[in-house]
Amino acid sequence: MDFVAHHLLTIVLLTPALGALLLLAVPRGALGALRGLANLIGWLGFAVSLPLWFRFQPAGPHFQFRESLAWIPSIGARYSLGLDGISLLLVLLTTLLGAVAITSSWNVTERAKEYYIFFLLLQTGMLGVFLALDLFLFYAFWEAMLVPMYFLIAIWGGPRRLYAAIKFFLYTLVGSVLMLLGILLVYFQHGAPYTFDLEQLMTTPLPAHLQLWAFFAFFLAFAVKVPMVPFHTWLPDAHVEAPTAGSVILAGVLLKMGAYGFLRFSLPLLPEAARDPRVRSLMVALSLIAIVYGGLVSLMQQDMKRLVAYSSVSHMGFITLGIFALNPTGLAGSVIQQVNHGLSTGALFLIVGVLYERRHTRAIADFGGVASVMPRFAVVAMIVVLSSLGLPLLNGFVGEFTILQGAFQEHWSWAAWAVSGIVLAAAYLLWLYQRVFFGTLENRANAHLHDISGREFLMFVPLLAAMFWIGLYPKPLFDVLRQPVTELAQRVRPGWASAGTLATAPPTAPSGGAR
Amino acid sequence: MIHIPFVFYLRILPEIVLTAFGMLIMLVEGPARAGNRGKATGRLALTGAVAGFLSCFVQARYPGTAFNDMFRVDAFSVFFHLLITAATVAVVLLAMDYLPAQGMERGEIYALLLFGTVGMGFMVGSVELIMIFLSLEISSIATYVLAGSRRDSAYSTEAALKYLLLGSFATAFFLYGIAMTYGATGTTHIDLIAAAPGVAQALHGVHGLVLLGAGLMFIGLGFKVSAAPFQIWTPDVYEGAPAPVTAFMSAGPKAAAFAIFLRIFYGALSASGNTWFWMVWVAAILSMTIGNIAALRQQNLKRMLAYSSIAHAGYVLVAFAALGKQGIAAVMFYLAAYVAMNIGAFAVIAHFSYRDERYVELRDYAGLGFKFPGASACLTLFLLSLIGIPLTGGFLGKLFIFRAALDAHLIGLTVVAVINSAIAAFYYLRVMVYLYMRTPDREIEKPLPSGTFAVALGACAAAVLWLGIFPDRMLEFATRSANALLFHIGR
Repeated sequence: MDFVAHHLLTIVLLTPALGALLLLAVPRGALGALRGLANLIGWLGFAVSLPLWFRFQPAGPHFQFRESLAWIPSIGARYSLGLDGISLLLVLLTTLLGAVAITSSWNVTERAKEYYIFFLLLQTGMLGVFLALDLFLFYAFWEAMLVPMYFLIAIWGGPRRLYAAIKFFLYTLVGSVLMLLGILLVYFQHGAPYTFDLEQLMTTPLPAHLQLWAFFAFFLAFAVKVPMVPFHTWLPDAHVEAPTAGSVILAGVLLKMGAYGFLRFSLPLLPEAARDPRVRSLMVALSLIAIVYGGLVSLMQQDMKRLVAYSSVSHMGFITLGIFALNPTGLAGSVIQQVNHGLSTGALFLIVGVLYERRHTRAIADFGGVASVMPRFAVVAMIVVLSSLGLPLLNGFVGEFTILQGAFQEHWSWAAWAVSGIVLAAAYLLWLYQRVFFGTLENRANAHLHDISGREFLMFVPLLAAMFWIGLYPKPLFDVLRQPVTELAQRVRPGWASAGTLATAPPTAPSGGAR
Repeated sequence: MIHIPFVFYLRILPEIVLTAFGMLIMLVEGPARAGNRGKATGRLALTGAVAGFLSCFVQARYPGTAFNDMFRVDAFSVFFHLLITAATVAVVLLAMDYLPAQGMERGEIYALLLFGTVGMGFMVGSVELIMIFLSLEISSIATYVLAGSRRDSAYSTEAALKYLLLGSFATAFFLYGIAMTYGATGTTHIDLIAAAPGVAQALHGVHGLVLLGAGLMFIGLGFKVSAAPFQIWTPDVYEGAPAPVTAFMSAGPKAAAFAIFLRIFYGALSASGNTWFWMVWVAAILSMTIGNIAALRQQNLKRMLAYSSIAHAGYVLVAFAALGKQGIAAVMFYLAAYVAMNIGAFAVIAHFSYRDERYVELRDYAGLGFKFPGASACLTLFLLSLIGIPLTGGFLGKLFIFRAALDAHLIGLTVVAVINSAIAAFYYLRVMVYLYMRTPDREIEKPLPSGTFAVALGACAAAVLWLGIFPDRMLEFATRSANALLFHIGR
């Protein structure tokens, strides 16, 4: 048991990859066995990550469950894993959504073996990104994860899948290789003995102009991934063409990797660049543009998946706004909102997937009155839509409110612009719901849609439960986040607490009215 | 009677072994029964290549010089000896799969492969310019003949002729460069050139003859490693030559040419500082850019990889421009990774090419991914490594190059290299698109299953992964070799 306790993170990380190896041994034709085993591994991956939540000590040392092994000593790269409150939430989100996505792929029959193998490898890649504390290891996972995602879109995707997959790959690759230069820049500034260790690199003093260069190198990689306007154009294509489970993971987890990159690497490694007023106003401006632009474009979409994809642009704008508010409230809100966005957008893609499987169309105009033939499904969809648009008592509200509070502490106008995003979200989501579920059933093809099956319902259950839980009682989440976000804010803006922009907002109480 | 100590023979043991086997093949080929000829010579060649590889370990135990200080065994030459003989083992395995399928199983091909390797072995071990020139010729002439060994194919003959003409031209440049250097320094020995007063003066622009010599040798070697602007021959020759020979050309001779590049420019001319730096800088940028842009438009896989090899020569030159121990080590590590991934990729091409190399177009690979999952997965791995995706040797090779270049403050050059490696991803990905996502518009004939192909492929794939996940030992070896190279000139 001791071994297990000391290697929890490795176990969480490698469960999907080992499962993929296991699947290799299953014959291609045995669809049932492949599917069953893949589901088992997916949910096992979630199960082994649960102890992290119960064993994590919010008041404990910054990084917990640490593991560190020499990997490539001659360049100073280590296999070094660790978990703080921020990565804890994202790891749990990843394992949960991964399991749900695998369950949602039940009807993938073509080349199912390769499908599940790629999916599980992707899962390991994403977990590695959230767990790595060594920049080299982080980069390896960050890039390696591109490959399975590329194949998932390009083989099992929609009609324009090749275009979408290559666009996704190249956009991300260009961003990433420049990040590699940024990493090397920081690495050389540290000097001998060379190391990629995050905590050691954080102690390296970097001249301000170099910080700016490195910041933009990192920024390109993360901004493409988030995606921030104007680097977002790959997202709608990739989403529309990806298979349902691919979209769920893409929106639910992959986009978070960009935001996580800002939180874990850009801000702590390059604090001077991050607090530079020019950089900050640029980031905030891009975030606000994303919020408004994403919302407006969503309003105009004819395709459900495209609509959800653009709504992600808008929602991710909130997340980057929270990050660059650079105060504990905004940072905590941003992480919570990452979890929320993963849950609600993941669920939205599942909903689109359920409809698509039945009707093989995603055009909004092809639907209408679905609620009368699929009542159970309509209820589920209603909850998800309300969660995504930020209704109080559901999860979306908690995150958005906290972010707005953090943004308001910095400047009232930031919050004012951002609020318009919530209004727009209500408009496009409710309008979507109305056009699809309400009204009379005019299209005869919709008359005999069967309601969601037990399996389909079960894959929504954990997501709905999480939505209610976070909406009603978010305190545990704020508890695990308090220490990391406070440390982060103090690192980026030393003396922030004493200078305090607003006396009414003590930096150690990030949740405010949302509790 | 000159007395030659026995240890001298041990120091050139790989060359002796390879020559012996090469001659044995030629002897055996005549009397062997017609039906059995190919098999027998193939097995002999494989034994010879493996014996050559193993004898490098014997050679490594006797460091020092041999034959009037013309040949040197140190970590540097052992590194390249191992790399080159390993490449030859892989190529012989490929040939044993390819030649019978093409109905061109002839002993002289195997013999020439071994003789070419002998030439390369002498190239990387020689520390004397005339010796280097002679061994370069031994290896080149073998390769010229090999390129034309598909005797009934006009493309192959064209390739051989082109390669011969342009190659001789380039060697002439190289020889002229040697003459200039001799004129400036009065010696042809690497260490003595390094110590000659004229070389150091070149730093201050005094000694034009040294610079002229360096420039001419650069042209000759630039041709051999297919660096732009001397790359014109590459696509045609790579396309025309039989696929295993292309694999051979893109690996061994290239690595050997880079080895003498390092010997001459770091060993002999290092005292002239960075007077030749801009030459390398320009060639690096041109090679990467021309190679990658031209590769984007290729439909023939062999041509595509030819352009890609030009681009990769450019990446190596980036490390070369970094001027230092780290740069040398990066060059060597990269070459090791490149040899593994490139031979691997050509192995798959050779295997699927069928009689008369009918299937080498991109469209012939449509849908192969699910028909031949093993070979396609390996090809995908090699392509990912050529792109530079982490956990493959290609990634770490690039990383070490970028690291060396950034350490030398070559930021502009590094950025160009980085952008280039992103552009390159596009055409490598395109192959994967065909493998897994296109349906074939014509069916290709199924190649015969072959054990030697599987062994070659498995070995290359294992090497790519080993270099990508546990690169430490190889990097340490490369660094030791770089030290050995710089040791003799007291840097």
